[in-house]
Parts: sequence; C-alpha cells; structure tokens
Amino acid sequence: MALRVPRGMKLVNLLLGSWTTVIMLFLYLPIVILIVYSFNKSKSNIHWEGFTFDWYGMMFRDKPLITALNISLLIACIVTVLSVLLGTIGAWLLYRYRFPFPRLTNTLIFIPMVIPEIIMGISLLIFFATVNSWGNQVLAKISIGGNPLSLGLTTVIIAHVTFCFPFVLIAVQARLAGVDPALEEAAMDLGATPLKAFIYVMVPYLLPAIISGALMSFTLSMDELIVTYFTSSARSQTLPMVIFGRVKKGLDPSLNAISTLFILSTALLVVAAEWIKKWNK
Amino acid sequence: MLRRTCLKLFVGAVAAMLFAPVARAEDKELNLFAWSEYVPQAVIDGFTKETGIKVNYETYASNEEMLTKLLSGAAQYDLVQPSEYTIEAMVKKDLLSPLDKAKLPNIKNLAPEFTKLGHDPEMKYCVTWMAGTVGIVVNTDKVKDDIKGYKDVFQPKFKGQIIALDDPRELVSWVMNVKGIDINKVDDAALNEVKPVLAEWMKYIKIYDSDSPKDKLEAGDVTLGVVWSGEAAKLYQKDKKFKYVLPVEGTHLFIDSLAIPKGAPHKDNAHLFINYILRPEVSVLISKEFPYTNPNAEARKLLSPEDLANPASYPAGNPKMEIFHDIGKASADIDKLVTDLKSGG
Repeated sequence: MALRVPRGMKLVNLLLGSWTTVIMLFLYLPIVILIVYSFNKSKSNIHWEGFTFDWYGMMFRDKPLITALNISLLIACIVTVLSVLLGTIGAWLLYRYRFPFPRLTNTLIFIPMVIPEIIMGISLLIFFATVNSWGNQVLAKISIGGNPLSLGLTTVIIAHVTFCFPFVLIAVQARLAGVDPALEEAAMDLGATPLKAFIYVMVPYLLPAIISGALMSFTLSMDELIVTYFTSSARSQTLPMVIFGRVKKGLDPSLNAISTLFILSTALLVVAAEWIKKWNK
Repeated sequence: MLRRTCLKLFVGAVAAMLFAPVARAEDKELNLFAWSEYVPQAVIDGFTKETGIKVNYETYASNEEMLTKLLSGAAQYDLVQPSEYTIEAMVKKDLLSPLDKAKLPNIKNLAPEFTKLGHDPEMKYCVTWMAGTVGIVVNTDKVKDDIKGYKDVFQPKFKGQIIALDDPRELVSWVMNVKGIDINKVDDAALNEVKPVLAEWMKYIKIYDSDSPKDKLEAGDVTLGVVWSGEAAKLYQKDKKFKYVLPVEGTHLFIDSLAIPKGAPHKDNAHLFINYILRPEVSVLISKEFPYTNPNAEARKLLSPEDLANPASYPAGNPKMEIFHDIGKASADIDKLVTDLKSGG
C-alpha cells in the first residue's frame, strides 16, 4: 500500500522529483551523447549519418592508443599493489600503536586526497628534478651513469601511489574501527607472533576494505591526467594523456569509442567497489 | 627472519625501480617530444621497422609548454620540435646540442632557402620539419567581398563571423603589420599603438582556436578568419570555396624544426630519425597528412601537381613574410595585453 502523503507534500515531491531528473540528465546526458556518437558513421561529431562499429575496430588497430592503454594498465596495477601495501600496513600501524600527534599524522595522510592536482603535479615535478640533480652529483663521484630519477614510469608510479594509498588507508581504517581487539589477542595467546597474527587474522578480516580500496586506486590511477602530465615523459604516455593530446587537434569518433570503453570499465570498477563496501558492513 | 627477507625484497624492489632507467639508457629507443598530431604514425612505424628503434611520442600544444617541461631538468627527450623563435631562445640558453652533419647526409635534399634561416643560419642546431604561413581563409560562398588583408577581415560587418588563432603573439603581430611596425620590435610604444586597434578587432572575433580552426570553418560556424596555412590547405582540398589569402600588410612565416636537446640520452638515434625524415619518400608522407610548405626539394618533386597548386601550401608570387625572433621578456607583456583585452571585452 502506498504511503499516504499529505496534500501539500504532493507538489513538493513532484518538484523534487523533477529536480532530481534534471540533475541526472545534466550529469549523464553528455556521456550518453558521447557514447551514441561513437557509433556514428560520420567522422564529425555534429551530424548523425548512420550506425557503425568501425570506430571500435579502428581503435584496436591504433597502435599508439593500444600502447598507451598497456602503459596505463601496467602503471595502474603496480600502483594498486603498492597502495594496498602502504595503505593497509599504514592503517594497521596507526590503529595498533600509539604515535605522537596522532591527529596531525592522520590529517597529513589525507591531504594528498584533497590537494589540487595541479599543485601536487608541480611539487612532484620539482621534487623529482631536485632528486635527479642530487643523484647525478652523487653518481658522478662514483662514476655510474646519471639520471637516477628522470621522468618515466617510476615517477608516474610514485606520483600515483601518493594520492592513491590514502584511499586504501581510509577504507581499512573504517573497517578497523569495528574490529574486536580480542581477535588479535587470542591469536597471540595461542602462540602467533605479531606478524603472523596480522597476516592470518587481521588481513582476512580486512579483506573487503582492502579490495574496495584497491579498486579505487586502480580507477584513480587509470583516470589521472594532471599529475601524470607533470611527472611523465615520452616513455610513459598514459591513455588519458594520449587522448588529451589528440583532442587538441580535433575530435575523432575512435576517441569516443575508447572513451566509451573507458567509462564502462570505470563504472564497473566503481560499482564493484561500492558493492564490496556494502558487503564490508 | 621473514621480516628481514621482506625488508630485503622491498629495498631490492625500490633500488631496481630507481636504477631501471640507467640500465636501459642504451636501449633502442627514441624519446620524441613534438606538437600534437604533427608526426604521422606511418613515419614512426616506418622508422621503427627499418631501425628497430622504438619511438616514444609525447605531445605538446605550445612552445612554452615544451620549454617548461624541458627546463624542469627531470625529463629526458632526444628530439624536440620547436618553432623558429623558440630555437633562438633555446640556443641563447644553451639548451640544444649541435648536430653532427656527418650523420645527416640527406640534408642535401633541403631546398636552399631552408638551409640558411634567420634563427639558425648555419643549421648548427636544427633541421626544418615544415614551414607555413599565417593567412586569411575566406568562405567565398558566404563572403563576396574581395579580401586582401587584415583590414578587410576585421570590419564591423563581419562581427560574429570571424575565427582567429588563440595566440597572443600572432594577434599582436597582425596589428603591427597593419600599422607598419616591425613584428619583432615589440616595446611599450608599439604595444600602446597596437592596443586600441586590437581591442576593436577583438569585438568582431567569434572564436579563438589555434588547434583545429578548420572544423569551425567547415561546419559554417564562421565564414572567415586568420589561421595556419596547413589548416587552410586542408579546407581547400575538401572544397575549393575556401580561399586562402596572404595578407597584403605582411605575415608571419613560421618554421618548425627538429632539434636535439642537451643531455639527450639517445643522440645517435635522434640523428638517425632526422636523416630518415629527410628522405624524399618519407618527407612526402608528412606533406600528405599535414599540407604545410615542405622544405624538402626532392620531396616536392614527388607531390602531385594538385598538391603543389594548393595556394595555402605553396603560395605564389613573392608575399611579404617574416619569421618571429625571440623577444625575451616582451612576450610576457604581449600575453598580459591580450589577456587584459580578452577579459575586458
């Protein structure tokens, strides 16, 4: 049976409903248009000329695009592994041991999540350049080849881990807040070393949080453009960078095609992350 | 024990990551930093197939963007593709490595007028990639006037129909040409003279676009404008109604070149690439995709008569053209002037 709504509320509900619809359209209409035009026969994004899968085929034959996709996937995988390690261990240490200034430490860890990307990009670039030139001076003394930290895969990975691991940490921390301390104590009473207790008792308990954090990291790393721009070189051109470079010279429906696949897989990952979060509770 | 093993593994992994670039330094690789969509994929593929050298292609959208990244010192590029005034600035700042001519026998294919250019008279640092002009495109279906120069374009009656390059130095140089001021003598007096005229012109401009102005002209959003010659050439290929006019007042001849930055890790590969693109049959591929003015005399022989007759690629007669020189700090003044005018108007 429908809920009885007071007379005056009906209008309000109607208004709220249409407002929500408008907002949803505003959010998703551009994406829908992008997807629709990825099936357009015409090369321009202006006129609709007929349905085709050609752009998808072209996309898969586009070598630079596929290379960039591979680089992006490689970076995202390594970043995810490193972020999970750093985030999980970090959250556990913060939970398990007392540190001076616990609140300050917490805040400092979360800042990379909210700091404007452009500032983070520039500061990382300056940092890498400085480390590189110091490294060169040191290496020159022991006469090994130079440029220990020139821009490339390594620097992009370091940069991505910087803003990805806090997401793992936050997820794990939330899960830890509800953990029963007796679990770990019991394990140790039964003879487990602290490390064993962590690996065999805590990690399985934290797994849902770790997975949802990992999915977040992977998605963020795949999508990231600005920080990547500052920290990459010709050798580490990620997919978003190549797409951005091409957009500057006019749109091409094969970009719509790859964007469509990108959006779909990102959406899948986000849904998966949300679903695991629910399971987490 | 496990802890120590973990630690060792971790240190090992970090060390491996840090030193990986060193170990790869002599790889068959070439890091190319060039304008977005200016190097055809066919050229890159052909080069890789023949030499086994993998080309990593990173793009930029302005000379300044490229300089910033290069100056940071952390990036390692083997080849960059600056325009003439940027080459000058880079030579002044000692950022380029001299070319080894012995490794570039194909240099002989260049037309003589492209071997002693103002920005690098002895071709010590760079080899011309493509040259082009900035000029006026007119959709003759819509505009019946006889457009000869900038003055004919920037008229009140064309308000809302004009597209212009989104490039402060270009905009200012057009007014300077109209006023008869040397486009490389940018000082306060010149800019004061430019300001009121440019303010007037900017009222008539509908779209600023440096990347792909041809799309808007083709779609009919605008009917005339001032654009790169390569864009105009492509429009002319599609439809002869798009006429290209070199402004009578004078125009900017731009020259994009390949150069090797100081400290490039793969200098030999960079020379191989330059020599490769100087082959007529390769150079012609670039022309086909980007119909600017090809500096390679041998390559021009391979072009079709129709390509050579494209007035935007190969302008007839003896138009008044000049290259941009490095103007140092004055470029910041230009940027400020144009930004102020844009936000004010």
